[in-house]
Amino acid sequence: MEMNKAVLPAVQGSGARPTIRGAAAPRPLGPLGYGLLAVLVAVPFFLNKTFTYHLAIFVCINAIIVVSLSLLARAGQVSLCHGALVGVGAYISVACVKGLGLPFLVGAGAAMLSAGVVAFLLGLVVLRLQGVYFVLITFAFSELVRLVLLEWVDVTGGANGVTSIPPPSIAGLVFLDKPAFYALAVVVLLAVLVFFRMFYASPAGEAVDAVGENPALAESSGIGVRRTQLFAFTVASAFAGLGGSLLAHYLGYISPESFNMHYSVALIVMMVVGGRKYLIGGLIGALVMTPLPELFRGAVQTQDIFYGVALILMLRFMPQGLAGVRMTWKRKKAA
Amino acid sequence: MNEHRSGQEMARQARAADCSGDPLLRVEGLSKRFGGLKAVNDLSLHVAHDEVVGLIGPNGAGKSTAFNLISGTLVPTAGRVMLAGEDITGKPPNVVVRRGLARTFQSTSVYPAATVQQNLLRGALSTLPGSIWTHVCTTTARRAALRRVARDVDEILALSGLGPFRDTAAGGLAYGHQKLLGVSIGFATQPKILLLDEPAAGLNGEECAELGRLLLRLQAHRRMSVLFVEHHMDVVMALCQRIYVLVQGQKIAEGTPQQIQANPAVIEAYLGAPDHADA
Repeated sequence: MEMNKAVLPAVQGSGARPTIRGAAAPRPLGPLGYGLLAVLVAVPFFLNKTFTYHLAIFVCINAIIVVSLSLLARAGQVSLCHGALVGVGAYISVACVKGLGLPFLVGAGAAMLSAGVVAFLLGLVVLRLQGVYFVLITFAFSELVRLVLLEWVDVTGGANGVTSIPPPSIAGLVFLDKPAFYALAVVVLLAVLVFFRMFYASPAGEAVDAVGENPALAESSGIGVRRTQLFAFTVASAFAGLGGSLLAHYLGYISPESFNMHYSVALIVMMVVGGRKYLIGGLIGALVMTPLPELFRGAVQTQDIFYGVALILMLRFMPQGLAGVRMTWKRKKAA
Repeated sequence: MNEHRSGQEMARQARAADCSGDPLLRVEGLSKRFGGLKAVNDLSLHVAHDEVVGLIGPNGAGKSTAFNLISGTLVPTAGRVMLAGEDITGKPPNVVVRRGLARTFQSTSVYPAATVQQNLLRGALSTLPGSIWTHVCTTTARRAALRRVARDVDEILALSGLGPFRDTAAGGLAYGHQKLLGVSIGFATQPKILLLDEPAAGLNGEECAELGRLLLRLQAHRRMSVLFVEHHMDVVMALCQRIYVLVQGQKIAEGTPQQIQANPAVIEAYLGAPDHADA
């Protein structure tokens, strides 16, 4: 009987968990997708309003950070210290550029390196923990980073933070005004997306997905679960550091509270809303969730409630996120 | 060749042309205690090159525990596991696999969201040289290795009969096909010996026969030994050259299928003692 069933083309998403897949093989966006992306990128230039630029820059930076966070999620771990690692990158970058007078590119590189190294060392110790225990440890680490930034006043400026951070300048070009910085952020975001697209199509990406989907089978097939998750944690955090560097040099001001646990949670919300299994999910999540607080400026309470309700509804009705909806629809159309 | 084993085994070892007279897998005095419970007690067994060996016993006999000990999922309380002369006792599974010992799981174990082809590719990843840190970069040598792996995967697709489902998500396959895929993922790691934990559980007669044919095809494609736990006695008797019987963590018998079927201790373990059957 079972064999008869198998003769038919397998039914997609017939089980409780949909068997859709966005991942390892590169899935081209299609002309429509690229067109949409180009229009989206161009919107701020047409509107040409300071506030639109400001939002668009934040969407780009958040997208970079959320895309990196989903690398770890795809390896089967959730981190509550991603925001803290963004902070590590931000402070290191500022220390290099403002403190030591090094060029911005060196600062950004140092941000990636330092966040990656910190995550590697942390992961070396704590990645034997799985699931909720790992989440708890990363929460504790996030608090540790915040307290260090707060208490180590001589180096970090303490609660006052660091002010008048210079804007990025690359080869004589200074990205001071918003359109220029937006262009920079878009280029970096696209580079990050291309990198991750290639990454997920490589054997390393296949190993990450294998570990996230079935760790016991991966381990028994010679893919070390701990090693793969350590790799994902390190790479994800390096890109978080890059996001932190951009953030610091865009805002011109950073303080420990910018990188607290709430920020980490907001990043996770963006990832889940966008679709944690899809590369494009990070972009969608940042695009949808970044402008939302601005709509609720007058009432901070409402904003938190909205976050909570949105997350619950998403998990209930579209566990694969917005990108998952798109993929399911594509499959249904194809069937 | 310096042979000092039984005639039956000598014939087998002669078939395995390059082997040194030592069995491929040798387990000595393997024990595992969970608190006061001796799940596996002083188990010794060996599997020669190209041999198909069965491990049978009633439920709770410690068969799966023995598998977990041999494959590194559990660390034994005592005893040694030697693979091709190398001590692999207590090494984690992902290391043991690279030494040439792969295992499958009792329940269907596939990557449900990935396609059949991707499932096999993930099985073959461990055959790529280098670690994950080097998998990101592409060099000429690396591309060649990837092409080799892709060829391997295509061959296994053809062998397993799963070719028509190449681009189907594994979670959408019928149960019987998922079982075959599980075995094929294990084979994709290029093992010297494949440990199968109840590969025929839940399969009907025809599917069992297909599983047996698959094992023979795989063995014909690349030399390997098989050690498997199974409850389907017809599958065990048809495929195995030798059988070990485990009862309450203890080995009570070993021999050819004929010897095992005639062994009074085995019959007693399965059917209860005939004389004072008061249970």
